[in-house]
Amino acid sequence: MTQVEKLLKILTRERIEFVVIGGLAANIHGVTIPTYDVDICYNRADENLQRLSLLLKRIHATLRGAPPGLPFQPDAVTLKAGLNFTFSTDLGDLDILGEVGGIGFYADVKKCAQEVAMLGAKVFVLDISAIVKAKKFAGRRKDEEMILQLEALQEMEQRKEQHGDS
Amino acid sequence: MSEQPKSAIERAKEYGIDVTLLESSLRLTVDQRIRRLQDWIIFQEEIKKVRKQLYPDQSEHDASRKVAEDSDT
Repeated sequence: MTQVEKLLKILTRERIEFVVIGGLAANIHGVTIPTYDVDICYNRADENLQRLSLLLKRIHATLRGAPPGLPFQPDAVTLKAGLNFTFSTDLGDLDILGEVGGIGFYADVKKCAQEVAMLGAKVFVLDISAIVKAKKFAGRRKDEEMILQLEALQEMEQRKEQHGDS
Repeated sequence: MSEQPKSAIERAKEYGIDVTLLESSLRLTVDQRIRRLQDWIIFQEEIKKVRKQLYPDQSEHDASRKVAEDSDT
């Protein structure tokens, strides 16, 4: 079972540079469609890869869906050699993306993120427009409702701001 | 005269989305939204356990479909 709160807290505590993306970011903005994993876009700078690999080892990250026994070590070299990974961990499913389709790499993703105070920390979360852009880029039918919810939420927030009662 | 484009809220309503749920969601804090999601995940885990008890011989997918069919009736 994915322990969303614990995963976010441990990522923050270990000073991993990341942006929350995907369904979790959408839920943070108010979408009511549940998600079952934590999706992040991570900084691929060497120091961050080192910190991330240490954390992944600690939470016993394995490649989700890979045949049992497939040798895999989430060390910094492996992370550097790959880009996007889907893991099962002691704290549940964690997807780490080096690139978000339709947005770009970490630096581009961070430009489209807002710093949100949550769970006693400050976490970068992809903004609504960028989530919509990424979802439209992915072109999956299952995202149709999420896109409509996000656009409606954005409009509600804009109306609130216009009426000055935020 | 050209027709006004529909607002995002109107489009969501036409799709069948209950926008009152979105309004309620906006009234929650971010921490509350994360906890609501966590509660949902816990609830789904419980459902999974029930499915396994009810349909031990079926694959997860089949058992899941059966529970859904049963709950429709």
